[in-house]
Formats: sequence, structure tokens, C-alpha cells
Amino acid sequence: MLCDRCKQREAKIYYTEIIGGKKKEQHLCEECAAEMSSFGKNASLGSILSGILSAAAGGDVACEKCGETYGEFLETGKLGCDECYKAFGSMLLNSVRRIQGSVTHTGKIPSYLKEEMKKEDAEVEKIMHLSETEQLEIMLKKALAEENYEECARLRDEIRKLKESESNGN
Amino acid sequence: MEIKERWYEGKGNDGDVVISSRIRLARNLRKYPFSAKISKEEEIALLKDAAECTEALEEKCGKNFFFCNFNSLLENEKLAMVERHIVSPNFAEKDANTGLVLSEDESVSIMVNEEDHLRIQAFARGKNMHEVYRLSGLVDDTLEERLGFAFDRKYGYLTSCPTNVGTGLRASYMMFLPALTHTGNINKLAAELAGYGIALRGIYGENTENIGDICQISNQRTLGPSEREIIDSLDNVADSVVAEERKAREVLVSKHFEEIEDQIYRSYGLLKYARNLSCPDAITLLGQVKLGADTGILKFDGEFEFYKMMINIQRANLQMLNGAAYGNAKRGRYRAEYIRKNLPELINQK
Repeated sequence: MLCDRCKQREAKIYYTEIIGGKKKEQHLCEECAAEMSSFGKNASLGSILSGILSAAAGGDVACEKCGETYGEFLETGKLGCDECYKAFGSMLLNSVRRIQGSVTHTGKIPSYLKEEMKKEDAEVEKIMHLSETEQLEIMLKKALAEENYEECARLRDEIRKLKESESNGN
Repeated sequence: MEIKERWYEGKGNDGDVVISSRIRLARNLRKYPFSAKISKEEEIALLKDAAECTEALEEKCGKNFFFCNFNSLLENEKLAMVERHIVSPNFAEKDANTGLVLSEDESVSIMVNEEDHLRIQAFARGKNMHEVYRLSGLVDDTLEERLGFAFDRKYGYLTSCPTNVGTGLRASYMMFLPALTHTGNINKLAAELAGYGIALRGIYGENTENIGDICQISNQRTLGPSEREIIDSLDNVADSVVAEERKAREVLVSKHFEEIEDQIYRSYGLLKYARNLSCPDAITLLGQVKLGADTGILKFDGEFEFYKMMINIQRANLQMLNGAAYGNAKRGRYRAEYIRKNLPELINQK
């Protein structure tokens, strides 16, 4: 059998790559397999990246913080600032998925964030133990503080309904 | 100036195959744009931020640290650091306000204003990735506390290029694989490793040929698996490469003993008596001698420090040792002289 990639040399290696849960199978010769594994030894990273990324459109979307456009990113493979990750939204998300095979970090978290997340977890934990009415009352307080009167009205109605059904039940 | 002992001097775990372990972390500060959009003023401010961390690093890591404005060093000093892997070739050539934080034993280096604001590197000899990760983690935590890194709950540590996002971690082993190279199995190995998301390349990173049968294996993806998972899977792969290489050496030596023995002694003889050696030749010959030492064919009256010699015979480091600049021909003579002096003597060989 000939190599799936160069179609010249004999395929000796059965190459399987699993990216993002999708399996891709190829029969390759040793040379092609080595090239695939060393990830474009001779090409610059920028050109490889734009090859991977150019499938996406939307080049004129710009980051408000640093001014970089998505088109610039496609050209250089470099983002301008931390906000670019948000500004380029789902286009970037898809590219990252193609490059990394995943879009969710599961590793180390900076210590300041660890504290923050612990507090959030503790709050969620606390709320979970409260009755439904108490949970709604907390949300009402928050909505009031944010001057979100529409939400306040909705919550107030819900609390009233709950209390009524509780007293009926008793 | 007397140079204190560097991290690579002495013996390491699985030192017959694994030369060194390295971790690299890519980090960016929240307060500045990434390198593509950073201003000259911000670059200088970042240098100051990094320089101010040296004291805290000394306290946390128990090592002496120095800071320097890297771009103001001499070309030869820069190149010598590339040869010792303290900095990347791209960093050495970068036209920017580059800075370097370096521990005295050179086991920790931080490139400032690289492709990312900070590139933290830690090294250890032999196979010792967990120790290297611990060390890089100490540095990371110390800097994070003072500088505040760009981080996203979904993407993890944010980097200039999305190929590094997430953990920002690249773990690599430098490996000496003469038997796998000589039996022509290295391409097959590279293909197999790729299936595990692990790249195999020449020693000086991308775009370099494999000199002296020395390769580097490293993780390709940085987002998804945790640091521990990345390191564990690289470790598993490294263990099986070590086993394969040892098996291949055994076969090579048992099947072709006379040929191999002759080759190794010839290499030793050349190194011991040659008067002019080019760098690639010298590294190849040193590799043969290392194979001789590892397989017990050669026995020395002292320590044969392969990696140290390999570093010291390269152009810029040789020049630093001799304290003068000179042309190619002269350099070849200095290289041969250094090797004659530092190659240990053989003992009791029949």
C-alpha cells in the first residue's frame, strides 16, 4: 500500500491521531510519519498557524483593548493582549480546539483565583442548604442592590406564591 | 572569574540515555499588552518588574539570582547562553528590550520580553522531571504573587500564541539515542511518539538537525490535560524510549561487538590525539565515547562528563573559556586542546 500523504513511498506505519475525541487514521511511510510528528520542522509557526486558522472568516473583528484585528492574528499567529481571547470569541475558540484538541484548562490556577473560587464555592454551598424561599430572598436583595427592578418584581411574586403555598400546606 | 558548579555537572538518573530534564512555562502579566502590541516604555517597565523579583526568588528557591539587560550583552555572550540552553535562539536575536533573570547554577532562567512576557525555564540533569516541575512551580508562584498573570477560567494561562495557552507548559527530555539512530528506527519512533502527542526533534529546538544522536522529546499540546498529566504521559513515553534504546544497544553490541569496539576506540583515539576538530565532528566522536562508557567497553580513571564537554566545545562557550575571539582554524585547535585536556585516561584495557 502507498503512503496516504505522499502517495509515493510504501506505507509502513499506521498513524492514528485523536483530536478532541475525533479519530483520524492514516497509513504513512516513515518519512511522512516523522514529518507529521515533528510538526512542520521547516515552516515557520506563523505560516503553519495561518494554514490551520484561515478556514475561519471575520478578519475585521477588532479587540477593543489593544486594537488587534482577527485578520492580524491570522497573519502572525500572535494575539495582542489577554482581552483578545474574549474579543475573538467563537472564531478563536474553534482555532484553539483545532490546535490543542481541547478548549478547557484543567491544570494549575493562580493562588489569587483559588481564594476567589473557594469563596464562591463556599457561597454556593451555603445557598444550597437554604430553603427555596430563603434563596429567592438573597437573589431579591442582590437585584435590589443592582437596581434591577424588573427582576425584583418577578422575585417578589415568586416569593409570595411560595409563601402562600407553604401556609396552605400547613 | 571562577565559575561555580552548574546544574549539569555530575551524574543524573538514567544518565546513559537521558541527558537532562527541562520545563518551560509561558506567562504574561495582566497589566501589559502581549509582545505583539507592547510599547517600548512598557517593555522597560516589565524589565524593572522582573528585576525586582530576584530577591524574593532567592528566598523561595535558596539560590543566588542575577538580572541583566540581555540585549546589551555582547554577541558572543548571547550565543554562549543559547548553546547552554539558557535562552532560545529567537530570544537571542530579538530586537527588543530583552532581559534575563538567571540563577547562579543556571538551573533556573527567566527570559523577559520573549514571545511571552516571561518564559520561565528550569533544568536538572538526567531524568528528574518532578524535581524540575517543583522548581519551576516555586518560581512561577513567586512571580505570580508579585506580578499577576493573565489567566482565564476556561483557557487557563493566556499566551501570545494559542499553541501555548492553558498550562503554558512545555516539558522536555534531552536524550542520547545512538542505537536507535544507527538501527534506523528513529523515524519510526518519531511517528509512534506523535500518536501520543509527543514531538521528537534535534537538540536546539525547531529547525535543527539531530547532531551526535541527541534528540529532544516534548509534549505538543498545552491545553486540556493538567501539568501532572502532561508530565506523567511524557514520563511514560520517556521510560519506554529508555528501555528501547537500551535493548537496541544490547543487540548492537552483542551482534556487532568487534565493529562497535573498534569504532569506539578509534573515536577515543581521535579525540585524544587530534590537533584540529570541528564542532559537529567532536560531538559525534564524544557520542561514540559516551556509548563506549555506557556499555562498559571503555573504562576511565575519572569522570567523563559528556554534556559539559559538549557545551564547552561549542563556538561561543569555547571562546568564553579562552577569553579571546579567533577564526575557525584556530578555534578547531583550541577545541582539540580542550578535549585532550578534559577527556579522562583509560584504565587497564587489554
